[in-house]
Parts: sequence; structure tokens; C-alpha cells
Amino acid sequence: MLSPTVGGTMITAAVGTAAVSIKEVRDMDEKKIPLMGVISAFVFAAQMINFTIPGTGSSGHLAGAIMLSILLGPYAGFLSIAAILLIQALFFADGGLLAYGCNVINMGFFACFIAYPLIYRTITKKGMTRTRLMTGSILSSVAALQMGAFSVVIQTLLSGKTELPFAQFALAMQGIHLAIGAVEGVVTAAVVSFVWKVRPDIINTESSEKSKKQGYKSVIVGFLVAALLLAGGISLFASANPDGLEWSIGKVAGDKEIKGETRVHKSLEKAQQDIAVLPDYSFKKQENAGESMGTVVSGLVGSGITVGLVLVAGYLIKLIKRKKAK
Amino acid sequence: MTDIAGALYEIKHLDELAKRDNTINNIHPLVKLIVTLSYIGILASFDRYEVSALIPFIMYPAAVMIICEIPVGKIIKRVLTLEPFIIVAGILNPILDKSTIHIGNLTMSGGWLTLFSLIIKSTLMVSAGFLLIATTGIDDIAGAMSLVKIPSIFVLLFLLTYRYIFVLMDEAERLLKGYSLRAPGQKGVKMKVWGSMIGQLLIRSFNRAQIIYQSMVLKGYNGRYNVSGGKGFGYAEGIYLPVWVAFFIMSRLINIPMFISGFFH
Repeated sequence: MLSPTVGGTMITAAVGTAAVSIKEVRDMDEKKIPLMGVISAFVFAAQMINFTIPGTGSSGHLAGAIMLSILLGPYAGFLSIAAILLIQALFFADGGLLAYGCNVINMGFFACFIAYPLIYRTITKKGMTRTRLMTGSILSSVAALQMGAFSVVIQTLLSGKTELPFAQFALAMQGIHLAIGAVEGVVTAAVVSFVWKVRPDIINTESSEKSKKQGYKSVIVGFLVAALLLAGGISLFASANPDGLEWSIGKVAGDKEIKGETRVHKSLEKAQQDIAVLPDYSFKKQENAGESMGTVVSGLVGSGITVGLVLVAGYLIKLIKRKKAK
Repeated sequence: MTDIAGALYEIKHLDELAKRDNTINNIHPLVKLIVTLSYIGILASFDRYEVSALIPFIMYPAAVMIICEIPVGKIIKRVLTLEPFIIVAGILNPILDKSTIHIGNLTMSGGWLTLFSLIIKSTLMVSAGFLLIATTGIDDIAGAMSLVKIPSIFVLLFLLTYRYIFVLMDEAERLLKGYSLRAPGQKGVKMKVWGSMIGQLLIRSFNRAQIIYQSMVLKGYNGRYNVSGGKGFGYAEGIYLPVWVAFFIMSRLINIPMFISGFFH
């Protein structure tokens, strides 16, 4: 669903944010790293538990970024979410590797660096009470999920792989995530207030964290740079995304879409032009309307033969393996 | 209710597959990481209307599965569980993309083509991701991560999270089993106990973390995680990397199925 431009930009943004977070966390007590590991694993495990959503038949589960920020602070929380998502991307292919950067930004960045400091911290600044904890957790979770959902909409549209119209897609996503955010917020609030009652020392309070305005600033600057890069990507798309009608089956497609994107692509493109005998060859075919049916058939036949070749290659590998084993 | 034991088993199983001794498992993890990433990147760069040119890319997962004797059913099963999400994302394409594609006098719906293209691409990418884990294993991936200079804090965090997942999912499963035995036939956990249940899990985890940390210190932990060197670069790496990358690039530049069918004219 993602184009490499958007996927790559978001990975860059995620790596940048992670780098800043690592810098912030580095001078932290080494003792805290195993703790971060355990808490991340805890969120991972908690994501496995389904909650019945009152009033509906459905159930949902946690994302956990706000909870991580509350327990570990925003920097360590962001790194934890990044680690969790990496494991999920590798083992459950949740979102896949290309979408990894998007996931980290959508689920981690907005929660840890916008919703947590601006909403949760502002509300609980005057001291912890149960009510403040509850409102802070719920509001920041809802806000974080709204921003994350909107960011998903934008990334999907920029990628141009689906045909969903912007307004409807955005409306549906925001609506669904309002519900999800509310559930997330209530669960977070319930858990945090329970822990606060039983083991108040675990909750990351103001005093345990020095004011780190500088840090936030650099994160936000990093994100702005990423946004600029992304904007560059958009303009590229706006001008170059070809009309569907222009498409033709025999052409080596996609060359317009990725024009000038990276050095690799550029050299690929050049190589493509150098061996342009092939695309030309099939082009001519299409212009000849009488042979069009033949083109489709030959496409199918060619595909069939390719699959056959793969099967033969597989069989050969197996054969060689068996021989070796003997 | 989510089958936690099942999920645990699935995670462990993929990691176990990587511990076996075969040609691809023994290849340097960094090489496999690069091959996987270039495979995914090149697949993603295809135009959304492309279908036939994607077919040669089946070669890579097929070859890896056969060489490593990875049960095909296992990978297919995992990919299939994700397929609904992919289909949901693209299902509106045939309705929304009313554009038609003309090949001579034959007209095709652009929407359907994009849906097919999306399904094939995602399926291949997802399988490549699974195969990376199934041939490399978590420790080696962490090793490759530190080789490309990903800060050790993150690598350590990644590894520790992975380690603790088993401990904590175990704990979570016990909690859930206790809950479901006393409240049978429920779809999920009731709202009233959300806080105390997850909170309990958190406090247990926290205590666990302290015990684990203390025992780590007793065994000489000093804030670093030492990844075993093990695999080096050799002939196998020198062949594996260029051959695959060349194959991917060639398949990207030349529509192989159309090229083959060209012989029949």
C-alpha cells in the first residue's frame, strides 16, 4: 500500500527521532535498559489481551505508546515502541518492513512527543490525582490516535496505491480511531491509576525527569526536516503520477512514478533506457490492434512459462540437495 | 480469546528454523538483510497496474523455502492470516478506479488490475519478511543491526524485549487462564477488571525485571550485550548477494513473462 518514497521518508524520520531519543536515553542509568526491555515486552503481552468494549459486541486491544511514555518517559517510551514494532514487523509481518517507519511515527511519535508532553504532562503537572491521571491518559490517548490515524490517511494517499477518496477515507479513519482511542485511553487510565495506587514509585513523575526542552526541540526540528523531505516527495508525485489510461501492459512500468527519486533508481532508469529495445518491441505490438488479443494471450502464456520455470528451478535445487545428501 | 500459547509457539518456531544447518542459514546475516530489503524495495517500486512483471519475483521465496526446507504450509498459513487486511485495503479499487485499460481492442478494468497487483506484491513482501527471520534468527539479526552501526542501546533493547516476551506472555497467559476459568464463555476481559488485571501484570513484570537485572549483574552484565562474531564473509556471501540483487534488478527492468512469450511470435 505504500510507495517506496513515503515508506523510505518515514523510515528516515523514525530513525532520526530514534537517534535523538537514544542520545537522551544514553546518559540514563544502564539499570534502566533491562527495565525498558521488560516494560516493552509487557506492552507486547498486553496487546495480546482482548478487551470487551462495553455496549458493542466487539473487542479491541492496546497500542500502548502513551502507557510506555507514562512508565518510562517519552524518549525511552519511543525506543520501546520502536523495538516492539520491529519484532512485530519481523514475526507477524504487521505492516511489513516497508511500513515500519510509518508505524513507528504513527504510533510512537505522536503519542510520545506530542500527546504525552502537551496533554498528559500539562494536566498532571500540578500534582498527581486520580482524576488528573484519568483525564490525562484518556485525552492524550485519543489525541495520539487521532493524529496517528490522520497520518495514516496522508501516507496512504501520498503513496497513491489505493483509490480511496480523501474525504471519506479520512472520515472513516478518524471515526474508527476515535472509538479505539477512547478504549485505549480508558485501559491506559485504568492501568496507570491501579499501578499508581499500588506502586506509585513505578510511575514516571516530574521529579524523576529533568526538564529537557532542548531535547524536544531537536526532535521537532528533526521532524520538520522530514516533513520537508516528504513535501518534496509529494510534489514529485503530483507532477508525475500518470493517468491510468496511459498505462500499457507491455511497457516496463513505473518509470515515471519514481523519476529522480534516488541514485539507484536513476541508474536503473538509465540502464532501462539503454536496453530500450525490449519495451519498444512490445510497444509496436500493441499499436497493431489486430494482434492485441495475441498480446494478452502471450502475456498469460509468458506468465505461465515463468511460473513453470520457477517450479523447474525449485525441483532442480531439490534434486541437487538430495544428491548432496547422499 | 487470543491464543497466547499459540502465538508464542509460532514466534519460537520461526526462530528455531533459523538454527538449523543449511546453506542459506549459514550465510552472513547482513547479506540476507540486504537481499531482503532490496527485494522489498524493488517490488514496491513497481507501478500499481503491473501484474505480469511481478511473477518472476516468486523465484526468491520459492528458492529460499526449498533450500532451507521451510514448511511451505507454515509460511502460507501466516501470509493468509494477513491477506484479509490487504484485500480490505484494495477491495474498493475495482469500484473506485473506473479507468479502463485498453490493449488494442480489449478493455480491462484498471481497478481490478491494481487489486491483483497489490495482493501479489504484499504477499511476496510478507513472505520475504518471514523468510528473513526463518533463515536468520533474532540473534543474528541483532548482530547485523550492530554491524550497520545501529546504536547498541537499541539493539540491546530489541533483544531484551524479545527475550522477555516469552516470560511475560507466559505470565499473561496464566492471568488470562485464571480469568477465563472463573468467567467462562466470555469474549474478552470485562471493563471492571481492565485496570487491576493489566496493572497486576505490570507489577509482576516490574518485579520480574528487577530479579532478572540482579541476576544479570551477578553474571557479569555491564550494560553491553556481546553478540557472537561467528559468521564471516566468504565465497557463499560473494555469490549469494550479487546473484539475487542482479536477478531482482533484471526482473525489474525486463518484463520476463512478456519477454518469454516474445519467442513464440
